[in-house]
Amino acid sequence: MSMREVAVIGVGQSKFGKFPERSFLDLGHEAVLAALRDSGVSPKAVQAAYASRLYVDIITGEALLSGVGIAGIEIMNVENACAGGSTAVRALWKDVATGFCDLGVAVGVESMTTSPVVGKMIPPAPDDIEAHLGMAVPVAFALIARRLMETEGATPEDFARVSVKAHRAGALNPMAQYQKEVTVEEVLRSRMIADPITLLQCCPATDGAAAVVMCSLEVARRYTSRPVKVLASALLSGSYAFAQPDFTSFEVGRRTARQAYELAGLGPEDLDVVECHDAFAPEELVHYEDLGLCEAGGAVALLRSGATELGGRIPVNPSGGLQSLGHPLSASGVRNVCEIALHLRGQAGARQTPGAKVGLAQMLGGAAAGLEAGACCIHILGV
Amino acid sequence: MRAPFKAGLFREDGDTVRFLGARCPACGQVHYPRPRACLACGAEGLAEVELGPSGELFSFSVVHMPAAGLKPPFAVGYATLPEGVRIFAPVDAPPDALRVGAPVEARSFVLRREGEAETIAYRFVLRGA
Repeated sequence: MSMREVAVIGVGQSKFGKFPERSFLDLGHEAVLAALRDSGVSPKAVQAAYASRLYVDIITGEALLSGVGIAGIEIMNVENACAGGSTAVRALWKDVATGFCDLGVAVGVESMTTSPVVGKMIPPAPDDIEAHLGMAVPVAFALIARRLMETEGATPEDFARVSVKAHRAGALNPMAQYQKEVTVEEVLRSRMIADPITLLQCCPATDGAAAVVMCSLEVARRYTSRPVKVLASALLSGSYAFAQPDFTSFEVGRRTARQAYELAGLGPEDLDVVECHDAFAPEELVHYEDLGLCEAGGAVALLRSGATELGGRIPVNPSGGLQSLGHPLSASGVRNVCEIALHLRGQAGARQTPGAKVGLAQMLGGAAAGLEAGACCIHILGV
Repeated sequence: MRAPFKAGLFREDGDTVRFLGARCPACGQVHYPRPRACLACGAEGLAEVELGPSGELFSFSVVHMPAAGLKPPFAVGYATLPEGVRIFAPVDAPPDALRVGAPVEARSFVLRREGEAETIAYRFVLRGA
């Protein structure tokens, strides 16, 4: 299949936080208008749109986008758990790359505090046998953490350090829910949720939205002299749990990364900055290895070396990540593409990765009994 | 009245529990719970096999938040059965006795009781405890 080059020409997000007084429409409008303004694209020039929202009413995209002058075009609503936003970006990339449209918008939005179903936790699926027996999302990640301790020598202090690193970055991000540094001691002393995961190693429930404007590289030239190119987009569903040798690696994480690197024609050593799913602090170590930022078994050493800190060799989650920036589920996958684009444009403010040319945004989505994970979606951007 | 939390998953055998699994006649993959066809190779006509009750604790956590109506703190974990299948369940053991690799056995227990009605599920206990 011949595919066209695709560019991100506009990024925008709402402030992330707890906003019980703001509707999903209000949050979504802020993000889409910011992305349109950033790109210089008029609402009337938008040919297609994808909208992602997990705690959903009907027609999120149509209802949301009609409020900013986008109507009468093809709009689809996308759900893929935490990878929903990335999946919306991916869907739009496919449309532009294959020529179905020249320019579109992808938006992810969540109002978790006003959701009638979410409460403070993601509710278990009624048909999921593990959910009947005490499984919950933090529990699944605690079981991963225990394997990291058993097989890779990770300690609770290491997991706390991931959270400390995220909050240090988030303190510099004006859009973050928590703009406050924490210490290893504070993280370890916070309330135990699922041993060894404490409260300050869990992402909060967050309200927020993020949006991107994407178009063909040819069209991008009309709007900007410095487009951010989408070098790769990859989305794969999770493997069966029986095929997963250990919880310290997601097979889908490795496969998706391999596909993305192949498509981009580069490798993990070429990356300057990474954003990944860090809903629970210990999992970031798993993603280091699955993304190839280090050898299998090398994640603890990579973390302790400081390489993934702001200012390190390969900053991971310079936005503050889901830990500090907050995690409006379907918005996060769009938001982390925005973050990478900002770094590549040199517009990431106090958290800027100096001279960043290539960055990767990854999200993992969903859990179900019998599957290692629901989905993994990766975008690699470059300038 | 005594009923499992979901039909077709396990059978009580005295105190212990046998898991109702399946083995693929074509590729040998063992599954729990029983799928309609082999998830590894697609073959049909899976042979029904019973798995457990013995296994080895693969990972565990002591949970301090409410989940599935279980009262925190409670322990959960995956145990690997000799057939290679990993099964998730509550673990009935003192927190400081939990070790990766500990031998465990699946037993039935009352997950919920409403009046006369008991909902039965399975959990792991430390063998020899």
